[in-house]
Amino acid sequence: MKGLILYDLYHFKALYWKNLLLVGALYLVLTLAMRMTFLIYFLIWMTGVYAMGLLSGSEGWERFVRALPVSAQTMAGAKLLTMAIIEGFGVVYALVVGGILTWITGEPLSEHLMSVFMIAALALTMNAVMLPCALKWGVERTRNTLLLFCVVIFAAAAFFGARSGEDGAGLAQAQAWFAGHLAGIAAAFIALAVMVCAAGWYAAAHVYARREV
Amino acid sequence: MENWIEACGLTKRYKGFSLQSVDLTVHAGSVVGLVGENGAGKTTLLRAILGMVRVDAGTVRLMGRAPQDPRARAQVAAVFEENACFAWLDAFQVARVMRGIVPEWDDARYAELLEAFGIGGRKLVKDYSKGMRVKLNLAAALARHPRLLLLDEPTSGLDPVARGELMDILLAYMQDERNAILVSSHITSDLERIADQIAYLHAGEMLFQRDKLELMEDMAVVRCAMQRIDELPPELVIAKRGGAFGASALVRQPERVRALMPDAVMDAASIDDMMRYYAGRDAE
Repeated sequence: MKGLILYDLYHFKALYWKNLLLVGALYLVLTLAMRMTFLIYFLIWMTGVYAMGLLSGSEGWERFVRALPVSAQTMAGAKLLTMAIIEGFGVVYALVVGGILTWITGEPLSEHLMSVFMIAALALTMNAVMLPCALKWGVERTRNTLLLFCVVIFAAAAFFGARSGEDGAGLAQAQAWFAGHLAGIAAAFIALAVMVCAAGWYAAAHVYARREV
Repeated sequence: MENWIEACGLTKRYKGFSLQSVDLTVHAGSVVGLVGENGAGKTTLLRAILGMVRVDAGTVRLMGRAPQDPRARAQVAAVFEENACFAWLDAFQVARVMRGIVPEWDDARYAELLEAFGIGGRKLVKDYSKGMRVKLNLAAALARHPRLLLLDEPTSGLDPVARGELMDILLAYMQDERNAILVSSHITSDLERIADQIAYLHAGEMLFQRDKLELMEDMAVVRCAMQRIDELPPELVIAKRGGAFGASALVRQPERVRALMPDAVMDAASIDDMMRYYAGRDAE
């Protein structure tokens, strides 16, 4: 498995590393100068997108690996771990830049840490869902479907937000409820993320085993 | 004698093409050359043998096991044409990757092969010439000490010198009599040099798998007037062609044909000749 991960990391380095450094530098400037904090978290999400991009045009490698004594489960596991490692770069970035920002602004570090880990878990979960889909239907189609899904989610959120009253009382209530149950919600979310990752791994292994290359 | 590949009745159907009930055997100590026109199904057959495609019918045993069995794959190395998957790596990084995947990986052997092939260093594989890429892929395959090598068009696009070097590498590999090679190639002169057997795949159908020497002795090209070819017993004529400069035919049992037509021009049939006649056959 180590070799599979190493290969993807070399591939990532060759394709995206310089681009990621540039984006990281840009976001750093924007975050510190204009307090655009969301960019820190957005970079974590972006590393997930970069990691998924490694699947494009990797048929030659897959064909090569399929002739080696490597099981489909190992292939799927290596892909998920590689994605986690690449998203780890985004997490490290967010922790460092966010840490500097909280130090400057005096905002609570715990909220920042919570956001980083929740978004990282969400990005990894999303990739775990996307991996078997991308293997089955291709990266582009999967990405477009996901975008559509996001549009629906945000539209639904906007719709229910608007229905919650002009004074936003419903939203405030929901926020208060979330704040009161944050630890439980975080634990449930992490448990769900682990389950989704396990299911994604299982489905990806199944697709790898049946996929013709 | 142990069979490293036993394919029996292998069938794979695609839209517009199918591999039809193919039988193929590769035993230890032999080199089998797989020939066939473009689109005849050579790569599909190799992929089916490796379990990369699901066959519609038939069975494959690879090293005596199912092709998906990691114990079988541990003893097999495949090199596919134009596999550019190492493009972003240098030769050292290839070793690092392979070491992390294959337990049998032999660093010393890999280094020895790189040195012998005159490749290596920090140059990225994407900047290699085609010959260098083939050599690197082969070094990566041989550093695993496989019992069976599957090569898909390894010499395609190489100059004669590089092809000669490659053939020498394969001959050296075959010094161990438990090793075997299944090699598909369009360059039949290479196969004439190293193959013990020739398997001819035509439009998804295995026309024959025969001992090379036996095949060469059993077939010949005869050149004369079409009328005289037509007078030959049909069982002797495999295929015939007519042209502005006379007619020719691929025949079996050259001795019998020679006796029937002592004055006809008769040449030994090369694998290229066999392919040309079979592909454009107008007689059985």
